[in-house]
Parts: sequence; structure tokens; C-alpha cells
Amino acid sequence: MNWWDHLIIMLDLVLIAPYRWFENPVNGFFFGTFVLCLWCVFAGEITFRIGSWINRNHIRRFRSNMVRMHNLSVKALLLKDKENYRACNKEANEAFGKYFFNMLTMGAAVLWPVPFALGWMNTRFGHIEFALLFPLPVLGQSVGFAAVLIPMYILCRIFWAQIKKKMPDTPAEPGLKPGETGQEEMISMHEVEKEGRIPERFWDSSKS
Amino acid sequence: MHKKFFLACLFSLALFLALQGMAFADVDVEEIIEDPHLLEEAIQSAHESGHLDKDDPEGYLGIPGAPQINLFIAFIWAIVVGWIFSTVGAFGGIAAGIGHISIYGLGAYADKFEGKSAAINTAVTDSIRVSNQFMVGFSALVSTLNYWKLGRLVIPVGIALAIGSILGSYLVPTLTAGRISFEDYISLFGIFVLALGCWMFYQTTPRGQKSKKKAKEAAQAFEETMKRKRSGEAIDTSELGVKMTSFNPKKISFAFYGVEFSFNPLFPILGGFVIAAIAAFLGVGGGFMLVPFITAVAGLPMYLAAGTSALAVLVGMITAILSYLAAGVLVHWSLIGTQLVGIFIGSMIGPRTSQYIPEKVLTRIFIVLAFYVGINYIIMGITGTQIHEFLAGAG
Repeated sequence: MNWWDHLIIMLDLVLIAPYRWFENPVNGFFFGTFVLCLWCVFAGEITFRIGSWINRNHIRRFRSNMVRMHNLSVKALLLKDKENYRACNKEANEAFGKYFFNMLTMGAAVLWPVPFALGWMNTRFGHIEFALLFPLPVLGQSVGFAAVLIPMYILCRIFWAQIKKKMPDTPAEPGLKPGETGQEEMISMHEVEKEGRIPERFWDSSKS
Repeated sequence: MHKKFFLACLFSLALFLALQGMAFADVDVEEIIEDPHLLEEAIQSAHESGHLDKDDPEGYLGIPGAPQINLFIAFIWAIVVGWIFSTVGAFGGIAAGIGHISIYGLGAYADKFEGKSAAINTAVTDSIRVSNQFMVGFSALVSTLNYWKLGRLVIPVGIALAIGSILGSYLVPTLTAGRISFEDYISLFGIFVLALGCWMFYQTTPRGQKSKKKAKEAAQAFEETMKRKRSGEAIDTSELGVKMTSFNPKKISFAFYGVEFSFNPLFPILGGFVIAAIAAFLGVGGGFMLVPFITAVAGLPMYLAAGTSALAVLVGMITAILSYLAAGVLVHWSLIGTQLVGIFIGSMIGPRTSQYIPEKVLTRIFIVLAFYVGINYIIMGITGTQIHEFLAGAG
């Protein structure tokens, strides 16, 4: 047996263990899938942090270009200058496109463990289906294991995002000290509405 | 916060429904039923018609005699896809499709089955389509959802887009899953690639550059003017936010911070439908087409357009994926996972090569490639031969 097969067997043992912690197989299935989701969130978060740290300058450059044009378009809009608003918005959109595709690859960094988890679940639970209480449009009368893992993973990510906010000394993004935002600020419409003007700092940053 | 709450509610509901089903299954464990794999029927049918030998070693999706996907090649190709995404953008989705069709040999394999064993052809073709959709669409969704945080939804546009998006994402997989042969799929994929190539080419022409240049110059001039302004002017607080000024089936007018905009609500519905249908049919991901579309149609600011399109992308993706899975389409999950890792690694390389290869040169290379791939796939779909074989035959 080669090292790869050993690794697969080891991983399988680690992943299946939580499924056996409860006597009731249904409880075990939900708990085991929950632990699997936590592994996915953990592995995705680590990869995302490594990736965004390696690419930090590149991503910041795209983002800063987009934010600069967006802020300009907001200024034009608030000054009722429709023509300049359209020009700046077009530029902001162009910059958004570039930033979007670069962030898309970061999406891959977050999500890569999920298909592997689904693939592994398919080897273990691929043959079972769970009957729904009532038939649902599109889904029909029963669902497979993916209908449990995918929503549970999304919930885990939402809760992880909430936990991260409350964690002390967490930098806003990799490569920064805690408390540093590291990103050029976008003009927030909420703030504009609250103050009745574009906040002073957005003009200060434009001083020549 | 309310958006997160909304999302949490949505997925809690999905989980609740699954739990209800489980509770039901708990009462009667016999309710856990064996999956009646559609593919097994297709394999049996192909075996009976002599197109396939059930004793052959299992390959892609467990089909006897199907090509074994070399995950290492898939990984290397995905690095190329990631590199393209981070350098020239949209073409990355096409490159992902090329991988599934040509590089891993799935297209040629699907194409072998016809007549009574055509079910294998459509099953593999569906799998190619949905794999593209999962790989590109999910990553794009994460990226777009990040933008939801920044802006707000423009509800009428969001609803119009979502209606079109749900229709497109539901109808296309439901009507086409199991019915589209490889020849049909590849021809349409080729047309899409060719159209993208033409669009990319147009952007490089003086005419295509003109509007871009004009916007750039205007934005620069405006930036200079703004630099001279040292403080914010008070704004008319009676005109804050989005205010609907007229709403009828032909025209929606709204004032955004006092500036008037209007659009025909049919356009976002149609646009949402077409974009979602293309995305679901070809599996190319539709998010990148939506934001420019909304900006062009409704004139919304970029951050509102991004937030609004996130809603349409979200509902569209959920509908398409559920529809495909409900239609029994199979996915090679490890292949998708391997490709996501490759895309991520490729994106680390992109920024490091862009200093040596100018964007213009790259764009030109990909225009030539788009024309080659587009025409080749169209010819393959029509004649069943590659472009060079077709030209040699014609000569």
C-alpha cells in the first residue's frame, strides 16, 4: 500500500469517527456532517488567508482602483453631475470586473474542501436517500446527503463570520496588525444620509 | 445584519426541511431508500446495444470503459484556468469548459454513444455542463456575495432580475437535462466562445476603445476637479436614497439622490432570463454578465448593481443546481475539488507573470484562441470532425 492510500484511509477514519459517536444513526449522521462542515470551514479559511496574504498587494491594487472610482461616482451623483457620474461609474464597473475575477479565485480557495467532502460522503452515504415529509417542487420526494451538507456548511460559514467578528485581536485581513483596516474606505450611503453630506475624511484623502 | 439574518433563515429552513425528513425516516428506517441511479439504466441499455462492456474497468462516473480522469492533468489544467481568471478574466470560465470537453477526453467519449445508448452521451454531457456550473458558479457566488455587504438592494430591479433568473435556471436544466447530446452542446458552446471572442476583439478596435477612453478621460478630469474641493458640500436631505417616481409595466423611474433614472422592467426580466439560461445551459457562470448588464440598463451605481445582481445570482445558482441534481445529473466531486485547488494556485501565479506579459498581448492571444476554439467546436458539433481534419478534407 502506498503513502497515498494510507493517507486516504487515515482521512476516512478521522472523518467517519464522529458519525459513530451517537447510538442513533440519524443523530450520528447530523453530528458527523456538522463536524465535516467544520473541517471544510477550517481548511477553506486557512487556504483563503494564505492566498490573500500572498496576493495582498495585487488584490489591494485592484480594490483601491475600484473604490477610488466608486467614491468619485458617488461624489458626482451627490453633486447631481449625471454625465461625470456615468463616466466614473463605468470606470468603477471596469475596475470591479478585474477585482471580481481575482476574488473569484479566492472563492475557490474558500470552497475547495466542499467538493472533496461531497466526494467522500458519496463513498459512504451515496446509496441512501432521505424521504421528505412532503414533496417539494424541484427536489421531489426525497433528498440525498448533499441536501444536508450544503445548507449545514453555509450555516457554519455564517456563524463562523459572526464568531470572527467577536474574536479579539483579529486583523481585518492577513498581513495587517489588529485594528488596521488596510483597505481604502468606500463612501457609505448610510453615513452620507446620517450626516447629510459626504464625510470630511473622504475629501481629506483627496487633497493634493 | 438583516441580510445575514435573512440568509440564516433561508438555510435554516432548508435544514429544517431536511430534519423533518430525517425525523420521518427515524420513525420508519425503511423509508431510507436506495437511489435509483438513472445512469445504471443507461449503462444497461448501452451494454445491451453492444456499445459498452459492463466488465470493463470503471472510469468517469463509474461508467465501465469510460476514460479515467487523471486528477494530476485536471489539476495542472485548473492552474492554467486560475491563471487566466486572474489575468484576462471571463475567458477562465471558457477554459474550464475546454478542460471538461477536450483535455480530459470526456467530449470525445460522450460523442461515441448514439442510438439506443444515447443516454450515456447525454449523461456525460450533462455532467460536463453541471461541473462547469459548480466550479465557476460557486466561486463567483462567493465573490459576488461579498459585494452584498457593501451595497443595498434596489428591490424592483432585484425582483425583475430574480424572476428572469429563476425562470432561466429552472427551465433550462429541467427541459434539457438528459436531452442534449454532445454535438448539440458543443455547437452552442462554440457559438458562445466565438461571440465572446468577437466581443473581446471589438473592445480592442478604435471604436470599442472610444467610449472607454472617453469615460476614462472624463473620470480623470472629474477626479482633478474633486482634488481641488477640500470639504463636502451639504446635500439636499429631502432627496436621499432611491425614490420611486413612477412605476408601471412599461417604465420604472426612480431618483437616486435626486438624479433621475428610468428603465423598462421587461429588460431586467429578459436579461436575467437570458443570462441565467446561458449560464445554466453552458455552465459558464452568469455573475460576470449581470453587473455590467444592470449598470447599462438601469444606470445603477456599481456597488448597488453588484449587491442587486448578487440576489439574482444566488437564486439562479440555487435553482439551477437543485434542478440539475433533481434531474439526476452526476458529478465527479473529487475532480471539482482538485480543480478548485488548481484555480486557487493559478491565481497566485497570475499577478507574478502579468509584469512580464502585457495585458494587451494576453488579450490578443485569447482572442485568437477564442476564434480557434469557437470555430473548432462549431465544426465538431456539425460535422463530428476537428477543424484541421475538416480543412484537410475540404482541401
